[in-house]
Order: sequence, then C-alpha cells, then structure tokens
Amino acid sequence: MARNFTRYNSLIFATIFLTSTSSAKVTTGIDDQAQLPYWELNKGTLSLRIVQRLPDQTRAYFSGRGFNKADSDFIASHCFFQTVFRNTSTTSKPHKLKYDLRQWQIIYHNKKHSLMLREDWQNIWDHRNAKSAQKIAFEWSLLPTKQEYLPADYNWGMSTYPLPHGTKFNLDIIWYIDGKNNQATITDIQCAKDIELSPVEE
Amino acid sequence: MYRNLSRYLMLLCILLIPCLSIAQSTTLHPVKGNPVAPDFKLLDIDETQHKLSDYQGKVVIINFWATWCPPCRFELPSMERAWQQLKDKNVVMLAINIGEDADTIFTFTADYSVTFPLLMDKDSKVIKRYPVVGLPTTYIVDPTGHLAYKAIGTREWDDPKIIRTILNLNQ
Repeated sequence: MARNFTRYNSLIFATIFLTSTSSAKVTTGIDDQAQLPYWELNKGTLSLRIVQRLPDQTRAYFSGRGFNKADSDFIASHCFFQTVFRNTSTTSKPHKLKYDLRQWQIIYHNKKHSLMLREDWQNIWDHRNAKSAQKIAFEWSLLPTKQEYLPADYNWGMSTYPLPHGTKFNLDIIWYIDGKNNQATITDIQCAKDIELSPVEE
Repeated sequence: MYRNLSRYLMLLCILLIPCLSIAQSTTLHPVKGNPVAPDFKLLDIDETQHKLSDYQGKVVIINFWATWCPPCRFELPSMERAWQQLKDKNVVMLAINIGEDADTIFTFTADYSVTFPLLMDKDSKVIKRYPVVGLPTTYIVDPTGHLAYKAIGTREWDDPKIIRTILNLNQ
C-alpha cells in the first residue's frame, strides 16, 4: 500500500513537472538558426525568446534595406536582439496576452533604462533625414511597441537597447494575461561584442 | 500497475506537447464587431491593379508581409498550397508587401515561387489603415467586405481546418 502510494505520488509529481505552466523558467543556450546565444522566458502562456544579433549582422541587414554606411554604422553601434514573443495558450483554454515595451526596464550598473522603441527610432530617422523606404523597413523590423495576442499568435521583431557592445544587463519584463499583471526578470543577458580586426603585420 | 500507468502518462505528455504547439498554428481568430475592411488600390509586381472593393462577393485573404521577415517567408509555401485549393472556390488571396519594390520582390520569388498576386504597399499607407502592428498579420475578409478573421504570426494555411473556415464564409 505504502509502495503504491509512493508510486502514485511520483506519478503526480512527474505529471505536474511536465505540465506545469505557473512558474517562470528562463533557459539559455545557442539558438539553432542563428547559432548565437539566446535567453528564453516561459511563464504561464508567455514564451519570450531573445537572441543575440552581431553588430556586423545588423549593419549588413540595414545596409541591405538601403541605409548608407554612416546610418548602418550608427544602427550597429546599438545593442540588438531578435525577439520572439508568443502566446502559447490553446483554443480549448484560451488566454489573451498583452505587453507594452514602454513598461519594460533595462537594469544596467544599478540604473534603470528604457528600451529604444519604434517611436524613438522614428525621431532619430526624422533628424537624420532618412528616406521613407528606410524608415518603413526599420519600423517594421522592430518588435511592435504594444501588441495583443490570442492563442497561437506571435511576432518576431528586433528589440533595441541603448547599451555598449558586450554589456551584460538584466531585463524586467511586464505582461498581462487576461488583464492580470505578470512580471519576471531575465538576468545576465549579454549584448554581442563587435568584431575588431587589426591589420596583419607581415 | 501504477508503474505502467505512470509510463503511459509520461509518454502521453511528451507526445502531446509538440502536438499542441502544431495544432495551434491552425487557429484563426474571429474579428470582434466585423468592421468593414478598409478599401485600397495597389499594384502587384506585374503592374496589375487590385482594388479590394472590386472583390466584393468573394472571400479575400489579405496577408501583410515583407521579404526580410523570417516568419513571413516560413508561411509562404503553405499559403501557395492553400491557394491551389481555394483559387477556383470564390476566394482571392492578396499578399501585400510592405515597403519594398518590384525588383526586390521579384528576385525573392526565385526562391519562394507563388502564383497568387504580390501587391506593393511601398509607402505603408494601406497597412497603417488596418489594425496591424507586426508582420506577418493576415485578415480574412468575408464576401460582404467585412473583416471576419485575423491571425498574427504564421499559420499552416493549407490545414483542412483553416481551409474549411475560409470556405464556410462563402455560405
């Protein structure tokens, strides 16, 4: 009887372990596609993955969208991550998920900073007289500032941080499930380092 | 007995996790209040003009996308497979590219061959009139010209459940 009870408990714990969605879990590793480090937060019906982008990769991407060298270098001087935000709830148990990037905070050297959002970049491009096609490409390449997701909805987009290359920081994240506030922190995220080549001496 | 039950349940959980995530990519969400789809007039890459209101009486799938958007690229093949099933069934599929020119899109189609029209919203004026903030986003317009369904992110467009949902709008 006691042995059966123990087995039964093991079964319950194993099932809870596999199906639990209530506790925050941050995993890190190397993203299969990008072959660069990622940080992934899973809590409830939220799945958020941010993947490092190399400055050269970002420079090349925006050069390909028509930005000149000065603007591409300017963009690449910032810290960029590819970001995938997903509502993992099912239609049988649906939840509405919302976020607003204006509520997220970067913690760097014990100070709080805001992310650089579409609106911030739009002001920069107005100031730098970027062409309309470039502004459009830039705007839609970034993760939306605010978004609402129903089951199975998700977006990809770049998120940008006003931090030097190689910086480690924490990110405070706020999101809403059916209107209820949720918070979590991803620690020790690292901006990619830039590659600096020195002339080869012969 | 419990040991066997435990094994079966664990196996079931492991098998169900990927199934649930795949199943979810077949979900279309009804649009609240079914507002009228904003009308537009855009050229496709072959310079044919498409006006949404000209398609009144048909179901119209409007997909907002860009060549540089990975999930947009991911769903194009399933959109083409769906188009092959839907094109003779009073359905129109319009993929509206945001901000790129005909040359860029044409070059892209060498790797992603599709036969439905690829429209160009070069100045992003059309997408701004729709409730869209991220790519890809897709709307299904019913034959009366109202927004019926919406999907944010990729879908398996040739899944029977989605095909059925689209065709049911014709009834």
